Amino acid sequence: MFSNEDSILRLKDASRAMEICNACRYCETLCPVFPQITQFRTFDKPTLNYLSNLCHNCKGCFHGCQYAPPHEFDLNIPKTFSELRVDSYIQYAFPNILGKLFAKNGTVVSILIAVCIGLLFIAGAYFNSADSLFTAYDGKGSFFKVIPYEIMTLVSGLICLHVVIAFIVGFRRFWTENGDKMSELADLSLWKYAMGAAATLKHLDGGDNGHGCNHIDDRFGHSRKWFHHGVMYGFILTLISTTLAAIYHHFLGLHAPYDFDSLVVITGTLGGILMVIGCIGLTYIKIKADPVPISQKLLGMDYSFIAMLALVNITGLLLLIFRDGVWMPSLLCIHLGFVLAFFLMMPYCKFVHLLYRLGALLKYAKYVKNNS
Amino acid sequence: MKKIIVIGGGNAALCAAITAAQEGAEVTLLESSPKLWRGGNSQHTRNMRVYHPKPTTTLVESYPFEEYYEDLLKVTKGETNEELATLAIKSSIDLYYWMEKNGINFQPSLKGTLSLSRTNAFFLGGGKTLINREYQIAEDLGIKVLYEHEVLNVNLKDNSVESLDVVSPSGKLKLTADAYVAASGGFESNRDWLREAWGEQSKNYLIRGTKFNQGKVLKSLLSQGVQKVGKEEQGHAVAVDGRAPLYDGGIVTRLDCVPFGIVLNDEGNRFYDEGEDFWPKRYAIWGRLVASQPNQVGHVIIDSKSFDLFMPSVFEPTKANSIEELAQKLSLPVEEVIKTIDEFNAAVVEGDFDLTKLDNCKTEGLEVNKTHWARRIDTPPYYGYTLRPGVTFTYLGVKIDKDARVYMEDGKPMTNLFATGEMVAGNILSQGYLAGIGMTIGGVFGRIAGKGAANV
Ligand SMILES: Cc1cc2nc3c(=O)[nH]c(=O)nc-3n(C[C@H](O)[C@H](O)[C@H](O)COP(=O)(O)OP(=O)(O)OC[C@H]3O[C@@H](n4cnc5c(N)ncnc54)[C@H](O)[C@@H]3O)c2cc1C
Ligand code: SF4
Ligand code: SF4
Repeated sequence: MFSNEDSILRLKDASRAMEICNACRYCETLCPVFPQITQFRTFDKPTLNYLSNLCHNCKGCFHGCQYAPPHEFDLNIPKTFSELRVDSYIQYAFPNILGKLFAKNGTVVSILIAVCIGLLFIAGAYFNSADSLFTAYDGKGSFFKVIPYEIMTLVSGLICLHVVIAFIVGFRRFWTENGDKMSELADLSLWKYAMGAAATLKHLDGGDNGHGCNHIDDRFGHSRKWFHHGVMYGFILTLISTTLAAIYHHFLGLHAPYDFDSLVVITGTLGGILMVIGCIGLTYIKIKADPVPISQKLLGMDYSFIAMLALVNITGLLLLIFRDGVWMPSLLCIHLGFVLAFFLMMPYCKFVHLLYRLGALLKYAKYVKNNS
Repeated sequence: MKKIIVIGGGNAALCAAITAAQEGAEVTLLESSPKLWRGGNSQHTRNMRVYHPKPTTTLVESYPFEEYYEDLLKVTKGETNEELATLAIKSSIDLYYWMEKNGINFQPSLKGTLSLSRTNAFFLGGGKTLINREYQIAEDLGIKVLYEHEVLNVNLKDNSVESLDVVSPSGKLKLTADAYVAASGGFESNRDWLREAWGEQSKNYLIRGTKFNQGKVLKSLLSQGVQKVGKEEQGHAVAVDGRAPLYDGGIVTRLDCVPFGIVLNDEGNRFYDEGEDFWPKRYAIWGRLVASQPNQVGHVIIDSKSFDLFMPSVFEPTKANSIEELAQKLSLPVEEVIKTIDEFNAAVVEGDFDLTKLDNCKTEGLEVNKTHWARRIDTPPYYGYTLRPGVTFTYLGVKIDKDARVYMEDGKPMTNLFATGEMVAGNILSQGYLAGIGMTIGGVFGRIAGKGAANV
């Protein structure tokens, strides 16, 4: 499915498409890809990797293209680019061998991993420390009665380390591929542009007059932006929550579970709810959307990512609700199972979109800067 | 409630249909193409020429009425219907604001590349995005859109339309309404009609736009005593890449490299001053120039000095390391080509090459001189592009008045037929072309026709 031969054909198709666009330029203000391509005459692999990651799949250039199928030029840029993006993820993945996981990102696989980890925990907990998995523990530190603190910290620490290394290597591969130097990243103005664009998702507005993008059909709208905001800011809130919890634990000696009115619980809950709403919304858009500009091959990866995100949060919210009851130990194991599976998959699933999209925005910021 | 039928599915038809519906009429729109091909030539457009006394959100500076009118007189050599031209120009700004109000997006003026952002309003994302939006507005207003419904005949009695003969996927239909708007474009895609009008050579013409503009409504009307405007052989054609598709090649097949080299015909000879003028004049004349050459082709020859100076083209050029090899690859008579190029090179007077103005690089002493941007063709690799005429649209149409009402040959206005778009462009454009005025004519008279039809 993502074999080398396919990838070569895709590169050819994308470069053909970009040459047509370059002679047309009608989409000039729809998204950053189009002003950027005016700088090129030919399109090599690194350039196409960059452009495909600069594309945020809004489909504006599909619905507005006079050469979209049934025209014999058969331009389907969102579809071509979305598959090319995955080729690039595979190419950048560290260790390389795990890049193969991108092609096998099905929902079932991910959930299976999560369930396995959950069961492993349950088994571990059963044999080791917990008196019973169906006891209601309460009070501070109750979670650690199920899974010992050391194990929790060690496992999450190792996984985090792995994710950080994989991300740094992947990003470096992406960034330097077109000849950009790592040292250029010291230019803060690039970060200002890229972070601003990411924080507001300004490129999902479809242009300066902010009419939105084509997510479902040829109508412009903002729904995808809002649901994406839900996921993104929800994720940030849960990260804040986790960080706060770590600080409380290590520096203030306050142990989980935290009170309902504590900042940890408030940010975590809010984040969780936002992410669940965002995931449901994004799934709805995917189901309703015109299938032609969507790569059917990638739906498995997209849905599995959304499902994992949603499940991490749903199990987290359930744990919050039932944390004083007999279901807590098993819910905790399952929730941690999903969290761990999610983090394990992070460098090899749709999550890397965040990494390379930011990288592409940084590259684009360079272009904007040089041309203003 | 008045029942209106609009014939056609491009910008002109949609402006009429939307206006009629906004006036409270019950509107049906008949588009001969399937949904995926809807929008006629309008789907291939980029912009619309708009008069504006002051800047708008997307149009810079001002484009005074007088200047617009002058520009029109220049291209038509003074031959236009003053009343209608004035109306079209003056109403173009209202059309712009009306579109904006209805949620049609224009793109902010571009820096640098296009000097047209003063005179022309660019549709954000191009004509297809515009068309999509127009169909959405129509849908929201409850307009019934029937795709794959082609009008074969408009049945006239006295000076009224009685009914329409239509073919649809479910067979032949006879449709009637209180009033009708004809907006079904020109006849450029009808090869038989092109041959009648332009002779055998038209078989080598490519059509830049839709294959659905067969001119059937136009033919039906003209054959029943409706007054004609414009000449059959007038229209707009540009030089396009010879490898462009037969239909719907759209914008990308245009070739912008003519002033950078020389253009040879199939016999290996030059035939016109390649450095005469800038785009867009150059753009408009080369279609006709090439059409008058043997086999209706021209071959642009440039060398590597110029390769990066013009808009990229979609098709790869023919490339060779010597003139001889290039001539062979282009199937041109080798000796003749070498001779032409040698003569040309010898006649070049060195100057300061400057793309941005009519510079002083020229040739002297040739039968056909190149008056600007002349540089020797001497630096391999050499490149060749083959040009063919690409028809944009035809000017033959029906006579209308300022209410977009159609007239009979005997001078009587028709009671219930209005027309707009390409099929009335000939009222204003007798010849020549002013970039962006096609959409203006269609939109302005579309709105007038829609309003008129809703209030017959
Ligand atoms: C490549 C290209 C680029 C252009 N760029 C510009 C530009 O930038 N600006 C500009 O102003 N002009 C441009 N033009 C010219 C412009 O396209 C026309 O002036 C304009 O589209 C005319 O609008 P219309 O609605 O009359 O015709 P069209 O848009 O051609 O619509 C005619 C419609 O009628 C339908 N039809 C035909 N026959 C029948 C029938 N018998 N029954 C039912 N339906 C029928 C067709 O399917 C079609 O939908 C361009 C043209 C081309 C080809
Ligand atoms: S996507 Fe289509 S309309 Fe847009 S620039 Fe490319 S070729 Fe032109
Ligand atoms: S799909 Fe959207 S973001 Fe991607 S290239 Fe097309 S217009 Fe740009």
